[in-house]
Amino acid sequence: MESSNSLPPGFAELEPFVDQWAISTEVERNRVRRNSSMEEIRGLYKAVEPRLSDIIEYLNEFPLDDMPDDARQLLRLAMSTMEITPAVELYRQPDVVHAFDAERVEILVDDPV
Amino acid sequence: MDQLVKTRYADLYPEMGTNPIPLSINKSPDQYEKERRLVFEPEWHLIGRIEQVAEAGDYFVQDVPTFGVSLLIVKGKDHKIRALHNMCRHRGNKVVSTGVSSGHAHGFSCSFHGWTYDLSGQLAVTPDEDQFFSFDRADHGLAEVHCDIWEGFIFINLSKTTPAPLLDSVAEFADQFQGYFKDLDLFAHFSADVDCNWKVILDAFAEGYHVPFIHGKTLPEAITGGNNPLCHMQNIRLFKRNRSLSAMGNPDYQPTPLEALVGAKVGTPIFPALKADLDELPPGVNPEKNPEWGFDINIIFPLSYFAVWANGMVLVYNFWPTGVGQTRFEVKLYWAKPANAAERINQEITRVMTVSVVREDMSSLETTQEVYQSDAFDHIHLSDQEIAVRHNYELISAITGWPLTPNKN
Ligand code: FES
Ligand SMILES: [Fe+2]
Repeated sequence: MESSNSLPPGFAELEPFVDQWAISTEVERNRVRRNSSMEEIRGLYKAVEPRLSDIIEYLNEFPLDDMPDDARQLLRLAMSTMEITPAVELYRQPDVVHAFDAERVEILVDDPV
Repeated sequence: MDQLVKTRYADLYPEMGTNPIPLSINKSPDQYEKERRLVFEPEWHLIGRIEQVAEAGDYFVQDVPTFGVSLLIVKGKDHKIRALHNMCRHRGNKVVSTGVSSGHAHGFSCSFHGWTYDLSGQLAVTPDEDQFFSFDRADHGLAEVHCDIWEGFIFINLSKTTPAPLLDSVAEFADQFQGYFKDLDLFAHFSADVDCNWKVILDAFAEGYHVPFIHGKTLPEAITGGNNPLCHMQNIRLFKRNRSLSAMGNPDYQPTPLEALVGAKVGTPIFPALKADLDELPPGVNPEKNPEWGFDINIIFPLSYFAVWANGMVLVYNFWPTGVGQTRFEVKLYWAKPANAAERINQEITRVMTVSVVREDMSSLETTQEVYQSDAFDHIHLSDQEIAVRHNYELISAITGWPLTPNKN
């Protein structure tokens, strides 16, 4: 039953990224980013980057608090892409290059998408 | 612009002097106790926004580790916002449990023996009340803490006596922001316990000198570069106890590919880009009314900080001292609630970048304190661009009587 993993029609090529990257909370997106290889991170970036404009146009049709499940999965992929963008565009490594330990930062507000 | 960048603040504020600052002030346990009594305890602390408690029954919890208390900020049926000790008046259990940070309630029921308080903190229900002795519920409400509001910012004060009015603390900022802050949604909130004196953290956010270096990877040229490669402030204002710094944005900044793409979808690029009409900005926002504005930092004595970004984002920081070499650093980010997916996604990349920048700011704090603790050397030198750092030391020294003259032996 892969219905919960399915993306909206037209975005099938992103399906392979759903398991790893369709994540609802910022804590978890950040944790997965820091524990993924640059190959995995670049894979997501390369797949989403050419479609991001379409993704945003598509998702803009729905109210944020009332999205069909498949659209919500797509939003989660886009959110993970925002999480890993600086790793690809700025750091060339998963986490910030020289920074306070992420594990010691306690996240107090984390509204799931 | 060149004019401003070349301002010599030491000439503008000659009373600040140019002496080195002795480090002992950041490592003396006696000094810390004095600061706790004379600096932290009598003063107001900025903890949130009225939007966090928009409706009657909305509440949030604010821990104040400096004083070892947990507060419940709640809007009553009378629409008054109160700060109450989150401590049951029966045997002291927390009324809102640890781990719950905000919510909506009709009242608060203690999980231990079921005492129940209404939204103004009055004790409404005591199970098996007859078993208590000469008991009047009116005497057992949640203890209230001084709470007041300025421009939609909620402040608390934990002094045991009646504190000076909040407006005295806000002081020079009082009428500088009229009507500017509205519809600010708390979209990110995090904290960390950092092993350093509270002043070391405050220092890290009171100058732009570090920007091209410690933020060299995350903020390449967003607020430096162009005609201001070393991130000179366009304006530093030292008031009696408060201070503010205004930073420019780089109009030639080239966003990275995804920043640009997402920014174009909402018309507001991630990094400071002027959103409001310059003429509509109140005097306290972008005080130079510079079209190349980036953001302003405003520090309300002693422990509160709010920053106003050109893109409309507002940041609130707390530096909660918990020991001479320990501080809980707390960050809250506010922005207009996203209306659609494009705005939500833009908010997310902005959040990710902001957290990266703040983690970079935090990266030097503990090593700095470590060196201060050692006897390697006994004073530090500050540049003219770091005059707001100096201002804090001058102020604390004046209040606590700690001499700032360099060690002569
Ligand atoms: S401690 Fe709260 S009801 Fe007893
Ligand atoms: Fe910084």
